[in-house]
Amino acid sequence: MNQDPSPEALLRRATAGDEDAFRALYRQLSGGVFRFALHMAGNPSLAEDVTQEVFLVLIRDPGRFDPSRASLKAFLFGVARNHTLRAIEKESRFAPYVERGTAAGADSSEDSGYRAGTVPLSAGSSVHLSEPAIPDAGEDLLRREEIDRVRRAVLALPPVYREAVVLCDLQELSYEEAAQALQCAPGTLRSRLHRGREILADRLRAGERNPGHAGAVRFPASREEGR
Amino acid sequence: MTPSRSSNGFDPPASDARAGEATPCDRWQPALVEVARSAQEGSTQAISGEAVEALQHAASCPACRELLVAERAVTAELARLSSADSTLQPSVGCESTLLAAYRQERGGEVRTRRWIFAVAGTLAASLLILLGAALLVSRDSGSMAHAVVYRLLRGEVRPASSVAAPDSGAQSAVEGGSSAATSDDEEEFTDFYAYYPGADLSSVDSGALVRVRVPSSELGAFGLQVAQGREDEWVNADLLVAEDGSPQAIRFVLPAPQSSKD
Repeated sequence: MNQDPSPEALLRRATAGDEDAFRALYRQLSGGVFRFALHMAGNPSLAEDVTQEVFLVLIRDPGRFDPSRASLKAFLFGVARNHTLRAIEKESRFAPYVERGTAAGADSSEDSGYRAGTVPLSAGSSVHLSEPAIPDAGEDLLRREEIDRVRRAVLALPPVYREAVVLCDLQELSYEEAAQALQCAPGTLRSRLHRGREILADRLRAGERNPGHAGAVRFPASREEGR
Repeated sequence: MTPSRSSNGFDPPASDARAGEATPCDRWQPALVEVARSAQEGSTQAISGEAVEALQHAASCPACRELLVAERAVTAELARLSSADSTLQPSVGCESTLLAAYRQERGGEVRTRRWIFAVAGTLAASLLILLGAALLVSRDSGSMAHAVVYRLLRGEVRPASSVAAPDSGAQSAVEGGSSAATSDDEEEFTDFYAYYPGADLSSVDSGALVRVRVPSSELGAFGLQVAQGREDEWVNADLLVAEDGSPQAIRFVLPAPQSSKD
């Protein structure tokens, strides 16, 4: 039986100077961290920066990870979340995220779908998708449009709900791990997740009524909204 | 492709339980969401008793049934997005950059560690060399002292310290006593006397000679006579001191013959 070593074991070896262990750790967790930042920010370049920052923390200050408080995965998502929120806030000073999503969504049928293995996520940025294209071009386009609509709806969620939805429903973290990453109680996380999904359902419904404008729908008022 | 509004799963519950005031159905909402999420994952995990009750309630409550359908639709949409993006990875450049940073960081640590080891090793080696040298010197001087003392006790040699020029005035204060050591130079000595009465000098196997001056009045304690009228004078003596610093024996410098002075 050949089991992969746990991220914690790999980190211990990497900290002791084992480069192969660090590479294995990176390959095991970087995808999730990158996709989390991507779904949170919609910007592949920013997501890559966040991924780098997260692993630089492990390289430079591995002692920050306390195994008694959280799993390494939860810790990394927590670091990624902090970096992502800071980056989003910095970006929003120049180009409000929702408006940019709206602009992208306005012409989604032409410009925002998957194209030749490239996923546009926000204005001026795209990321290569390694999965092969679906043979039927018409179905493929429709499927991509639908997925892109969901992606924009997620991106348009308030960050406090977005992170809960992304961690639990897209990254499939357990409630416990997601709560550790967000440094909140599992009950709070569940509440945010339910509220986020509720908003998401509303936005997707609005997108059904008005295709291509999922990102343009205003959020319903929320008790927890805003940090 | 697009489902009708009534069948797309995104219609709000008829009771408007989500946005309105609390209703009896509110208590089932969390459980229904969990049911919708776990159903989408296709997991076989056991449904909690609360979820079973929520499902039973939804079967008879149109609002909750619609909520369940809506939640399942959201779960399905999110699963599609997750699946579509599951292969997205950071670029190869990202990994290269991090590996370079790792090598630099760990290399720096290794270099620092090596430097510390080198300095510590050099210091330890220097310390060992110094310690060894000190031990050698100590052993040599100890053996030399041992040999000198042994031979002194046997009256074979005269210590270097005793070569000093005699204080003629002081020497003349000692009279009598057997002369055990003959002198090639200017000084002659008495035998060694145990410093502490009754001490066994044969047990003394190492030590050093220290030239001292003692009052003539002390000579009487060792059975020596002091010339009349010179009790206040001082005479030279060699004190045999053990390695622990304790005096073991003493001998006195005999006065030079009167004739040589004249």
